Amino acid sequence: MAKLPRSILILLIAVAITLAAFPIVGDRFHIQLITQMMVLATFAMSLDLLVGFTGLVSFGHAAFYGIGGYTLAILIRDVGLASLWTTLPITIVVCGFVAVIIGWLSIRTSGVYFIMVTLAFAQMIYYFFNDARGFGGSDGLYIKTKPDFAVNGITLFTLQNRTTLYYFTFVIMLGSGVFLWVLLRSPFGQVIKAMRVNEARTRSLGFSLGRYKLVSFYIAGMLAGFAGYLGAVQFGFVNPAHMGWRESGRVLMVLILGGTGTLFGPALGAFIFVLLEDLLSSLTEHWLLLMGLFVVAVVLLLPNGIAGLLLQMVVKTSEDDQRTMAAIDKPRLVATAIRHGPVLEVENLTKRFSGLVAVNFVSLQFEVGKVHAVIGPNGAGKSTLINLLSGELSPTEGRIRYNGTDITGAPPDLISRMGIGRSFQITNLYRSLSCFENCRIAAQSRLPSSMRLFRPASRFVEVTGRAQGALDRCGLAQRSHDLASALSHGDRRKLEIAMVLATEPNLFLLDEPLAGMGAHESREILALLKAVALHHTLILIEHDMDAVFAIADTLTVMVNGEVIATGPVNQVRADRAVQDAYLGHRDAAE
Amino acid sequence: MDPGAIAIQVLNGLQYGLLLFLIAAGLTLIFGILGVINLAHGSFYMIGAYLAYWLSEKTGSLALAIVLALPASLLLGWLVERLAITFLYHRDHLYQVLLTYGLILIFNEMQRVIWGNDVHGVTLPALLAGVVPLTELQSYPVYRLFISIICILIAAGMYVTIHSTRIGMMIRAGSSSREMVQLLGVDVGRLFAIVFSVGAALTAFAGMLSAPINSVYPGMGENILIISFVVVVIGGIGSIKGAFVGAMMIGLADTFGKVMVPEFSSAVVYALMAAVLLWRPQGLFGLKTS
Repeated sequence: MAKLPRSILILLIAVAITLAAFPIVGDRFHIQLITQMMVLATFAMSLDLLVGFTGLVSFGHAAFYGIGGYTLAILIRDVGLASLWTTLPITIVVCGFVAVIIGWLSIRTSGVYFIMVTLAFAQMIYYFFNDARGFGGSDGLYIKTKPDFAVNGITLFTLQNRTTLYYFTFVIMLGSGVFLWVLLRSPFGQVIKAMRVNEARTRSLGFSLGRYKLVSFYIAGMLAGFAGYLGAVQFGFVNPAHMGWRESGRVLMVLILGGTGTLFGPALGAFIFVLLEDLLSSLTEHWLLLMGLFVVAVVLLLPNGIAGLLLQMVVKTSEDDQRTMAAIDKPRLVATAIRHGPVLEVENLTKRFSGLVAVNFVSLQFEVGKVHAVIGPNGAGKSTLINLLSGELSPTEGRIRYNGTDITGAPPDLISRMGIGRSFQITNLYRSLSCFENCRIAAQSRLPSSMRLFRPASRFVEVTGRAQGALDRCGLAQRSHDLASALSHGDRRKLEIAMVLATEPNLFLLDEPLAGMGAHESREILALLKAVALHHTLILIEHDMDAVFAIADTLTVMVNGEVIATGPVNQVRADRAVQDAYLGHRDAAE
Repeated sequence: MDPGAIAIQVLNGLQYGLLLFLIAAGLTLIFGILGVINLAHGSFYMIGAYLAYWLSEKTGSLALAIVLALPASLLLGWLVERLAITFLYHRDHLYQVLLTYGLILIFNEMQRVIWGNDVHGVTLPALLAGVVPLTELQSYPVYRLFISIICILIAAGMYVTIHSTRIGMMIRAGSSSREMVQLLGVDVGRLFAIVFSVGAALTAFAGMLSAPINSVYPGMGENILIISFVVVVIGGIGSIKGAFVGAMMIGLADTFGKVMVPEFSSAVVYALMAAVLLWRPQGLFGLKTS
């Protein structure tokens, strides 16, 4: 949702103006109904941050909504606070605190575990408020005085007033939307979106995924608590049902109906959903039966929601406004430290997969500024070796030292941030992002702190410059704005190399960069690698012998997980054991 | 607590755990093989209990009610798989959650339409209504022992089926690599339908068995569903062994929690789950997946 098509923007502005004007003509019932819709819209947008953008499907989001309401009720009943000044910040802090704890536990899991775990935590909180003394059991708590807003003892407004509450909620809803929109344009937003598309890639670019997920969970929890606060003020009471699994399911339903990952979709979804509930419940006592059928129908027939439908309708007419890049500095070439000796050393490195020994007591040194190729037949343990070096796997035994520091067992994101970049054997890109955005994510991983929440990512000139530079170096300057999925196989491989270059690595690990290339593409990639080798230390795994001999300074041959020869290319090439084991051609009769 | 009381609590915990296993086994298999997270699983438990109540009122015998209700729940499971779940394979979990959430709404409302909002009891069969003396003062209901024995027999039967029959082999293969089983030419459509309906019937059976001791009430399916999720998460999704171990842990933790910390008994099981996840995010017997 980088840019909204103009027609949708106009639609949203029209909706906002209608909402702003409504209390002038609307009756009491409808003012309350729309307030309810706007609370739900805020709540749904907070969930969209998690589900639609971060890719974390939470089935316990109502817990935060409920905690928001309960915090307000307890503050009013037990502490005697009734000012917006105090109750609102406290409520948000409490929700944020709970979100950090639950989030920290939950993000350790993923996929369907995450769904179940968030559900279970929400139920735990539900039972806590239902069972513990002092929270009114299943009846919940009443909120007798509504918060007011006073400056110097003069009450400016009170949420007791229906119309005031309406406008307050309206402002909060718009504010939340704008807040999330700004957030998603920031480097932080770019990373969580990237993570959703391709987790492994994002980690190997050097992002610590857990932190991003946790921040996203935290923000979503606070916003949901805000919505819960408003909901409690409106209804005048809170009870455990507000935080039960039904509520969590309901808001997920709003999200799907509206369309995930669009922000405006869930907001529209909330309006339609509440209207529908209102309509169905006036038709029959058993309206939930109809609601259930409606839910099933939406899932089967409208998977992208209302927003998806709207976007589909207008996408043809909206022009593709590709903004020209801000003036971009020529990329600095990152010179490898002029230094001799090994940049990376491995000692007795061993990896066993239950019975199988994939890498068996390998000891190697990788020299600064050299191209070091590792060859060997299938199953020799080459890919396992690369995965050990990049932290994707942790070794069973042995040590890895990088510039003298022991990095054995370090996670991939840390290794990447230390300056070891890698490319994957199977091209591993953000297919739904443009080439430039792919590189920008990569470059952004080198910001001193990429946890920037509010400045748009496109304003980080250094980052955009480095991304563009990497594309230029790989010959993809013309294709900056094309989607990665639109590239040819060879260009995708180039983009992959560009992404690693954008992280400015010292050491570049390449896992079969020429795999699956035609002769022409192979030559291009090889030329690119030669250029890259001028400024970087390369460790390369490859099957293509001609390519290896053309580019490598040092050659290591692996067979069955063991190194059988290592040294300067020509020397290893002549080694009889190597010819025997790998290059073949000796008589079997011997 | 004196030893007699502890023994009773242990027996209660194991009985509850065994019942949970019947439900969680279906849930974990449906996820492991079909790749579907089925929120409507608890509805089968509720439907089983209501069928047991309704049919035993009509026929005057719980045994006869169960004999009639079992094929009915098998059929219901099959219908649900064919009419709804089948559209969810290869869909994102989010949509699976929502569609099955919709099914819960439908089932709950159907229950209200047919049987109303009242809480019902089911009378025990006379044969199983007695008690077994444990010490001079304490005794244990025969019916609870009966439930445990039946569940153990089913668990053993499941073990034999999974480890030494053709369909068991497909189930084992399917839970480790679904794609491969399809490529090997197994009629996955049939396999999925069988697994789903058997899972549904087992859960319904658990509902029938527990109807005389827990009473029959609206919303009973959801409570058990969430506890079953906890069991499955603790054991590791897709693992029958994990479901068994997890069910026993939860059965005992819940029973002792109710005795020892009554005010927070409901939170005990979730705390246990959090502890397990801290230690092993993929559950006790789950495969590590990214």
